[in-house]
Amino acid sequence: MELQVGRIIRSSTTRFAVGCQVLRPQVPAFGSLVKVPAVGCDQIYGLIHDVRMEDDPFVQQVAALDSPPAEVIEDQRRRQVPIEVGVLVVGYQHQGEIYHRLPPQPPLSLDVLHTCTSEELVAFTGQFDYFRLVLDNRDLPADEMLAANLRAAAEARGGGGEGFRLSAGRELARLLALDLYRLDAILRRIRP
Amino acid sequence: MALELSKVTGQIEEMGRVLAQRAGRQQKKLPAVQELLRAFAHEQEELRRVAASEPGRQLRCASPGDEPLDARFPPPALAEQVTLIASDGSQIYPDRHGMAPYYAVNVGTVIFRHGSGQAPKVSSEPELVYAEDEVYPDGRLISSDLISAERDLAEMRALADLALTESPDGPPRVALGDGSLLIWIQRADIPEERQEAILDRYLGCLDRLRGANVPVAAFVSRPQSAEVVALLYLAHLEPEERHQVKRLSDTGFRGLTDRALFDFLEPGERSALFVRGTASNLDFQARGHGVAFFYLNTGTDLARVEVPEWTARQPAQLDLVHAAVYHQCSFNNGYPYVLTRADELAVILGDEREALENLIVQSLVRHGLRWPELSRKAQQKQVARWRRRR
Repeated sequence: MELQVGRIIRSSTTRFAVGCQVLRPQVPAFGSLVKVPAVGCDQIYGLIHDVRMEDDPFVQQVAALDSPPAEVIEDQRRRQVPIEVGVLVVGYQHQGEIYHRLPPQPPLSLDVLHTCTSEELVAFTGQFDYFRLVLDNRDLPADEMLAANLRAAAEARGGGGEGFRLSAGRELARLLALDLYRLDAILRRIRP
Repeated sequence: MALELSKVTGQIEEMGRVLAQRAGRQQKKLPAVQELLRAFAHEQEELRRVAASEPGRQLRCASPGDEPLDARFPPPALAEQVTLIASDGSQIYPDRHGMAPYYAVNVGTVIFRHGSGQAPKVSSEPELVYAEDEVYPDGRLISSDLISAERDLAEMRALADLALTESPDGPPRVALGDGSLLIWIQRADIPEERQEAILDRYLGCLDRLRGANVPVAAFVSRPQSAEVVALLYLAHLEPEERHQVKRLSDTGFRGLTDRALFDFLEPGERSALFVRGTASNLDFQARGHGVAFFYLNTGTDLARVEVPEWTARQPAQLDLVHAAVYHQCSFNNGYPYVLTRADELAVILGDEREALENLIVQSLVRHGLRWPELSRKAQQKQVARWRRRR
């Protein structure tokens, strides 16, 4: 099922951020594949690399109470404290074809971000060219993000996705042949 | 580069020294004034006469009720279910250097059902005012005093509207506002007929609340007034000396406040009731809404809670106000939770104002006006301040 995550508040060709409300149960998990409409192509794909809640001293104050009234807890959960979701761009779709490279234009502010369906996740992870777009980001928890994404993609294929895990592992071994510690850490994370 | 801190360090040092000295002097006088409060504790009749006298009115002395002046009332038990209705407002004042002539008032409201476990019902009602007659009454740009009075009226109207839509058969209701219950309207910048009209409508809201028997309270955080101190000062003078006092600041009691006087209250306790001595209270008294007050130790602060006389006269309602306001403060750092939320709902932050003005500009352009712009002065300020805003 396709769920609306929130709207773009900042964007560039390589990354963008989405704002959404606390109570949305559909805030997607770390490493999830998401999509947003774009100029110059059908849609842009990204992986969630960060979900953060803006600092709010008011909530902190309530959290510090011994037993805040139930009405206050309910109230705080409904206040519009923005959750910010950070997305790393990993590809785009143009005229039905999926490309694992940076899109020609970034998404526009206030465009709506959606989660991808299992079918879309399977289609997107049919090739592994996007690995490099993820692994090159040393300022992000890139390895964790890719591992989380690969686990979800394997699950989406049904039956544990063993074949998928093997071929993804082989591609990682090729890309990280000169960094065996890093390779080992990711492989451990995508084992069934 | 604007404020060169290196050039004020000497002044800051001196300021700290002077303020500490002043606080020390006031602290020394305090026991004597508190002693007067105890000495006059049961002289309510005499003190009411002092407050009503010419010098008493001149000094805006508070007038005591029937409770002993130094009384302390612990917080009454709060009913299991109480419905608190709160409102607060904010505004955008018109800017003659801005994009378009308009002003805005935004009122935030909260209905907090204590004991229900439910999330409060919150709302905000923005109003954009652009009609020529309203933005330029008398041909001049509307004053900020008049907009503030309109905002106060909108806050009270929201309280009355919401309180009256709550069922009288449900939990007891309390309407709570921020700041004084007295509307500050006798201002040079407000035309007299507008003063009268706003006051009349404001008191009309109180009429409705009284008709529905909903107690009303207004919460003043860190009150600065010295109406009880002034009363004690006058009372301790010989009657013939009282006429020579024009201002409390000319006397040895200068700088003392009621807040300091009542610092003996323990958390949750309220002081005795007094009637406000401000001249504007006469208009309220004339319509049966004379404003009374008590001081309340909110747990971390001493606040003034104002109530209309009809709430003050009903002990059950006064207890309800006392208990409900203290309970609200007890889990919100000494300030009512509902007022923090109402303020949060009402406040118009800088970037929201910017977004609003962008929409206004777009609308003006869509309707064929030339692209509106800031005055040259405002534009140049933005240019010069650009680096400092980053």
